[in-house]
Amino acid sequence: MVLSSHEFFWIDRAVPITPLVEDSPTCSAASPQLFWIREGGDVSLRPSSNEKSNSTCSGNYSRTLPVKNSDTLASLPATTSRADCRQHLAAPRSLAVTVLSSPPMQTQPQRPPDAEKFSRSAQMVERLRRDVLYTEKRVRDRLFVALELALAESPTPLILPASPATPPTTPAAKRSATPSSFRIGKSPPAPSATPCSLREPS
Amino acid sequence: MLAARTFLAQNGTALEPGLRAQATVVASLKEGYRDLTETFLLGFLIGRLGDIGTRDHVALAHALFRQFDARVPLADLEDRVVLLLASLHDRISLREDGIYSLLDDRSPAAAL
Repeated sequence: MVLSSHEFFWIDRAVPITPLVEDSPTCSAASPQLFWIREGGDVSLRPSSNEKSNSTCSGNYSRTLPVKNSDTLASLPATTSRADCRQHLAAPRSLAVTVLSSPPMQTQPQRPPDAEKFSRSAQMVERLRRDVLYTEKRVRDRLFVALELALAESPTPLILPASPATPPTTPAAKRSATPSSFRIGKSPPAPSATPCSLREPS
Repeated sequence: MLAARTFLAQNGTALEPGLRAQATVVASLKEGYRDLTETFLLGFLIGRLGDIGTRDHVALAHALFRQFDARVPLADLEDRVVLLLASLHDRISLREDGIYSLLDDRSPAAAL
């Protein structure tokens, strides 16, 4: 089966690979080694390292098919055809072809674009939690306000608590949060036997 | 806040983390204590993770300032990250590969 449509995209740019006019292939060394193909079928590619050769790389891709220079075949042309012209698709020496949609073949699960970003922020949150430093922004702001009030209005001197998980301003912050229907949950237990506030700076 | 040295004792000095902090009266808060506290968190992450770079501003905004409120634009949170990073200019450096690194390993964020 030959490609019925030639929508090739660089995987990290999401823009079509520039079709190259026959006999004038160029390929940047910085070209990524992965690209997406929108529609199913066979793929026929000319390795960029062998620009003057007529040999091609080709293969029937399933989910992921690495197309290596050693897989060079001559059975399929190095060109793709459109109504008006013939075009080469230059490619790096080693390729991995990933099919986006080609029933009945299964496609690789695509991570949403924000997944990596959120996993990164989750990693940061986890790191803060490990040292009992994490508070959600809304809770933090309410604790700030409650602390200011406690310092301004408390009849007794304010002394820091032994446990960072139970700041004295928490009840006041919870009370102030109630009218706005925002609920401050329980503080997470300190994971370490030595709370960070007790550690002497090294 | 204690690690960020934002609590002031009655003599005006900042409380240091440690056993004595638990027995010292807190008289007031240092001016700009909110920024100082959140800057500390930022410096802590940079120091501990070691691979935070210019591409992580959005993730930092989510980790530190996410409010689960669609009315709060993410751009504002990113701006806050940048502002706090700017206040760390004398404590962090930006390497050629776009990664922030603490200049002084003895800084509060690194010492905690």
